[in-house]
Amino acid sequence: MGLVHNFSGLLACRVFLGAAEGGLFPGISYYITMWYRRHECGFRIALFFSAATIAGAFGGILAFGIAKMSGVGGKAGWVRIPHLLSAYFNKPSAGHISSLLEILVLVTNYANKMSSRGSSFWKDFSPWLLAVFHSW
Amino acid sequence: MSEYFALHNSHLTERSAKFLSDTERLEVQRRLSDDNGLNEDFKIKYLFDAMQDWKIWAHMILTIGLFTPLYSFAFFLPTIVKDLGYTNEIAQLMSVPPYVVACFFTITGSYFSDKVGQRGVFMLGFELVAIIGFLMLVSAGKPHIQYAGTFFAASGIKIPTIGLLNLLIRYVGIYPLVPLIGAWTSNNVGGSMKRGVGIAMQVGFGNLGGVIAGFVYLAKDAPRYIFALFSLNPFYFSY
Repeated sequence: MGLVHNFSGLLACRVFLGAAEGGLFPGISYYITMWYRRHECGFRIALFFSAATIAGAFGGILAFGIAKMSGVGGKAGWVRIPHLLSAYFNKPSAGHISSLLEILVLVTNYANKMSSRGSSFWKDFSPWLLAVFHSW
Repeated sequence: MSEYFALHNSHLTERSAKFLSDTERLEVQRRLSDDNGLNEDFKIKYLFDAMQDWKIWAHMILTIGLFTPLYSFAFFLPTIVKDLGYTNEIAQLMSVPPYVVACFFTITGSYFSDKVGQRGVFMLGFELVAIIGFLMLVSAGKPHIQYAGTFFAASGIKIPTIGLLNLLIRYVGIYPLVPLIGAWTSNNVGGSMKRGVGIAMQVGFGNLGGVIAGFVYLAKDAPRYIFALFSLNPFYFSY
């Protein structure tokens, strides 16, 4: 989604995202029912679904930061979402980088620096390349 | 479709799980068959059984009525909070507390529902909270006109207290219903495959509520949600 430039591209991405993601909630609910007795399912499904509400809360915090980054590198703020994903998958090899927040800051800074000085190709692909390299 | 593949994938069932010892496997199987000793076969007949079960269809309608306001929150919360008088970035931050409160009630609601052994009563309770929240919204009219006068003395930031409270009430009313109705459906559909198909039908149909939400809220047609919520209640009583 970080690479598309028009509505149809975004729509195509969302279709594939939906196809891959659609089975998640029913699938997890189903697995829970295969492991727990009926009076135990409610609490487990609630724990699973509460992750969606926590994600909503974090979504607000991240959107706050992404909105602050609007215009950086000549792109709209939402293009930074892949950057954040790359940060998430980054496994720190240096022992002194301990907290997730530090990793987020480091990687987004690095991505910004790269994308603001590189060619347009690099600008477009840097988030994904970063995601691949850092999660190696 | 993903659900179909999940049904075929037996790696995560108690029969094939590698992390269980034989004693543990027996214990898991004993617990499950003690509770619900129904057919675990994979037969295409059970798919049609699920499709012909009116109770699953009733749950599908309940679910779409529930997912419509749910999606409308997820899509438009930043807009709603902005309407309350917050500026752009603060609006994003103010979308956090409703989710935190919703999370708390989601877990505790379902926990006590399990303890008591009732789903419908808890759903009706949360439903009532949601209806109160939506009625507050409708009777208040446009939120920023109603609440703009309230100030938070310490920071000087405009805090629309009642508006935010209303938002919290609506979140508390809607979010806990999702695991409750999910558990309710899966509890009452017997047999592994029929249950899997039933859950997929319910959630799949319910997700169409996202389409409704996308069109309804753009028109600023808030009362529509009231209609959706009220239309659910006959189904609750039918149980």
